Amino acid sequence: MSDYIDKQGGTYGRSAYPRVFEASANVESLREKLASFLGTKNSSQIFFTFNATVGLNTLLFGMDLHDCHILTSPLEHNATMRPLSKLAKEKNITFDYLPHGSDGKIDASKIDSVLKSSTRLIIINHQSNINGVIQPVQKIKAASGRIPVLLDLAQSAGHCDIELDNWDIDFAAFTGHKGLLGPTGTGGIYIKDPDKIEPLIYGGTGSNSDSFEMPSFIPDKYEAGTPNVAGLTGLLGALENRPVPLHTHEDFIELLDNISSIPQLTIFKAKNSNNQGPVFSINHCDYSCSEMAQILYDKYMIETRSGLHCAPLAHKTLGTFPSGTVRFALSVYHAKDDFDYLLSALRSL
Amino acid sequence: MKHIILFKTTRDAIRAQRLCKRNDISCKVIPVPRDISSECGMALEIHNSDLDRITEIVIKNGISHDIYNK
Repeated sequence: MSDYIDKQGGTYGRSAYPRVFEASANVESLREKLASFLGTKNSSQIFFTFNATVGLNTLLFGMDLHDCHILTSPLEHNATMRPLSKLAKEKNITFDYLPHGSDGKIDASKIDSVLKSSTRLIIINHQSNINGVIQPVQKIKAASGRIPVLLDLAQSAGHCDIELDNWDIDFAAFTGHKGLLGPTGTGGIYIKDPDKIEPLIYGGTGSNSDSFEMPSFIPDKYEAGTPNVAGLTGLLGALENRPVPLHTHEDFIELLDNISSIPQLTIFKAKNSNNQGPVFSINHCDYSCSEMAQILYDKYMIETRSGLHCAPLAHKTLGTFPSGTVRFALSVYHAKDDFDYLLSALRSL
Repeated sequence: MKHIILFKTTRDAIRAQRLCKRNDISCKVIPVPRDISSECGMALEIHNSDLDRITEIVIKNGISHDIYNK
């Protein structure tokens, strides 16, 4: 990425000199790499956006949803809920939440009870950004019959196995800057049947340039305007150089168990450790979440995020609305020593 | 004689160039000639002797294209 910025440069398409060809070829290599990473053979059906939010907006506003019913997970982010709220106001859409346990994990066996003849879409946040619950996507899809499923992979991509083809997923959105370890300003969507989605952004594509109409062919249909080539080059570099995690899932679960035993803290995590992704939240009996975040940084240089994490629905589901929580998001670079350090800091609060 | 192959998208042009390279077929990436199209992207210039092979390969890989004589 730094080579691209310092030396190479070049846009995507639009010309044919070698720097442009190389920059464009890197973007296409990334498309192939992402397809493999997300478990689909259809790399042509992956389209770049600037993050998962733009991707989710593209999908939800491009589907021509109106006068219908939608189901979502109870742990959705506002990247989904705000577009849905707008659709509800303007397009006569109603929505309900999928049946779930106290940690927000969806109970696929009860989906029948909330399906309506007007249900046109099911939206699942694959991994919660509050308590790390990973949803049982395959079971949900199997229980949903022919209703299309949209998967928000913002938190899970790079942390969980994802099999878009095997799970028969219809739509997905991902971001590059979390578990995929790429730069901010990168992300994208997957569309199983591109005929079903209208573009969100209109503009130049370097193709059909004699026409005012957007091309109907892919990927150009969804990629108007110059993409973030520097960022996408960085994301390619990240995917080609995946680090070996410095901790195991068992190390992480042991950390959560130890935190659970601290009397002053309430921990928000998956009930079943098999559904636990590398995110969790806590609250303290005496400190607000913002006070706790400040103490953790000032005394221990531990970086956390306090508040509602752009996910008020998830906090309502978990009983932490409107006060919020302190959220910890681990990366592959955290080792067991870091877990010991965190545990010792939390015990001293 | 040489031929120019035009593609609908940048992605297809890059895929075709990679297929040529993988199959040891010589091709040159050139700007789309203005006299045959209003596109501002890239096209491939190939030798007449490679035309049949390239055509077979791009069709096999589902790449939409148009061929022009130079």
